[in-house]
Amino acid sequence: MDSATLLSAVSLVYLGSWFGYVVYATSRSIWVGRLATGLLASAWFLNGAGFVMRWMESHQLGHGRIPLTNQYESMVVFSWAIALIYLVIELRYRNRIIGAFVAPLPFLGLGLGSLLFDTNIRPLVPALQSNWLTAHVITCFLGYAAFAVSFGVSLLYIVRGKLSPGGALGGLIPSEDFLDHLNYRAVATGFPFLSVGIITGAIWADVAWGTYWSWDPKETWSLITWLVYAAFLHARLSRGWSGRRTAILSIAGFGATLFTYFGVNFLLSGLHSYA
Amino acid sequence: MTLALFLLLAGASVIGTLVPQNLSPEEYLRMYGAVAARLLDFLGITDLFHSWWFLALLGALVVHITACSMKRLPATWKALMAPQRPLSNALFRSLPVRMVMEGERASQIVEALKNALVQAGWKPTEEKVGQEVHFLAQRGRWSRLGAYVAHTGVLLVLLGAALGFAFGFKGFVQIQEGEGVDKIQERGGKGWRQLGFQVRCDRFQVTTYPDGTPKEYRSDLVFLKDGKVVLEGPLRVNHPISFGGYVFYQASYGASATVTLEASKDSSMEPRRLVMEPGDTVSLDPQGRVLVRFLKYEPDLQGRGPAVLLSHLKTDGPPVTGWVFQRDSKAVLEGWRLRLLEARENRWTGLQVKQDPGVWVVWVGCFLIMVGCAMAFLGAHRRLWVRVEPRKNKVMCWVAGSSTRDLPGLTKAVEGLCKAWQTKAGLRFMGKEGKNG
Repeated sequence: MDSATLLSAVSLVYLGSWFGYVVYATSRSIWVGRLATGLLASAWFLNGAGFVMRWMESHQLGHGRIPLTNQYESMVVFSWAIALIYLVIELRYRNRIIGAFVAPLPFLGLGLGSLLFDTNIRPLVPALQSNWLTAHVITCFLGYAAFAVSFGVSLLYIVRGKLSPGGALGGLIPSEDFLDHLNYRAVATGFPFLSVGIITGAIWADVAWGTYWSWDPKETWSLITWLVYAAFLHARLSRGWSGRRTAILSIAGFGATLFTYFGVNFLLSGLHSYA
Repeated sequence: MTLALFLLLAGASVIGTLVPQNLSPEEYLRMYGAVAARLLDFLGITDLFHSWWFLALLGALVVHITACSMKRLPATWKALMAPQRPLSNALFRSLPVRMVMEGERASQIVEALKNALVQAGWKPTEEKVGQEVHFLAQRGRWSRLGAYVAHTGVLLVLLGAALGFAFGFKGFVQIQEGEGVDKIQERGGKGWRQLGFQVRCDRFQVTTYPDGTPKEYRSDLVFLKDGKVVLEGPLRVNHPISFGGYVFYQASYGASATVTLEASKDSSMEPRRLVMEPGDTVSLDPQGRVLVRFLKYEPDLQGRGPAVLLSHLKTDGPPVTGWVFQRDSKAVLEGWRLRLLEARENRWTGLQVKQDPGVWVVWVGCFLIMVGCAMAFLGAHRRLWVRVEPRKNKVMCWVAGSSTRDLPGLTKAVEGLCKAWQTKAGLRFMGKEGKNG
């Protein structure tokens, strides 16, 4: 079995864990909850194993390189990073309900990645042959993943506000304070990662192209994303914004993140055409 | 104000990615029409990121950051340096994390409490107020400066960019294989810059993987000063070479050629041979009626071998262009059959050349942003107050804490401390409210 087959199978394990979290959210059966966590943890482990396999396969093809260099490979890392950040949160806060809203993201990432993009292993073009590749891609996608979690949590916050307080679903969703706190924590985690991602990208661009910033669409959109989350942090820390308003900023920020990730590549043209 | 600046900068950047930047006036005319093209040009949107109003926005950001930091720093400094006062009842009630414990009076109890504090990683100072013993401890107070460090970083990045903009140099040069240059064309058509030394390219090479993907672009460069070789080495993508205050980057490559074309009309006439360099215009017939210009040479066009792009200059209409191949040429022009006889290739390498006195300021700024973020988001200024009060035949212990960030984390730490006191000094939990009766 090759890594691409393994990884598309892993997307089904993610799907299974999502199903488990939804059943847990409605039934509150502790065993179903543990099963869902177990499935997500195994999917995360296999996702990482698929990544390593792909790395080894590239070596067998004679042009070994870390698999972080195109749309498909970035989706593999994105899904892995979302699952990782979610698992850390679940472990830390001992709360599984969020899983029903976050587990679909790695499923969609890995599933759509396998379906839509070229899964062949291609050798590295000269511009990508750099030690900055790993640091740049990993930090960017850890940032994106933290923002994905903050998006899921903010969506949940908005949905909760729309429900009647005594309704059947109202009791299932964690308290507004908890969601608000989690939203802040996720953004405060993602923002430094995105900053480091942009900085390593700038250093690399300086080494490869002789200019650390050229207002390329990818660069510009990463800056726009950075500005939205900077606005989030300033609004919260020095203006005392919280709740609904920061949830909306968080949703807008993830919109900018997705556009930086996909929109720029499919709708605009620029130097950063790999992923 | 802060939020407004962020949103304005973000909004302007969105426009800057939707409208293509730095195209020629003709292209804007074609894409947007006359009125919109003039408007874009007037508003500076065709080069938005260097327009006066975008730079003014960045300037406003600099002023705003500086003003806010200067306004807030004194208060922050005061909070950071403020000495910790012993725990009074009023202070106890005002602190967010607190716990009261009680135990039997024993000789070594104060020592036991202190040891547990030290084991939990605190460095307590001890104070005696009458019968009471106070422990005061704090950690991470410098994290209060994280925001200032990060904002200084942002200012340095902008300062470094301004230095590069004002005093830097960006240029591009094409060097033919085997030839050298001693001047560079500045980007944006601003003229030439004398280097004060010579750069020669001995060889340019592209290597490919078995599937045809390029693996390496490599120029073998030689740097000469006063005709003497000072430095030589391969220039590859991601491996720039610094020399004489400039940095050289492998940016592009291409080939031109001196070609020989054969033009034949009918069997009664000898075929004519035309030797051309790119840009040359020659006539196919001796009378000068059929004029062609050599536009471009391709070493391998669509896998069909070498080819030359010619333009037929007509007197009665726009020029017509077409490719002439070496193998199986089917090009016919006004009765003349054309064939590429021979091409002597001259490969060239394209080098990006830059000089940027601000780049290190930018990197220091980036480093400060990272350090500042780590201080602000990972660190927290935690303060802990402990009051041990001997009563008739028992001992009361008040503990309280505050933190600039992550109160749940501090709560956990205090709970852990109280548990340690419970096991090591035999204290009992009495709740969060201290009744001083």
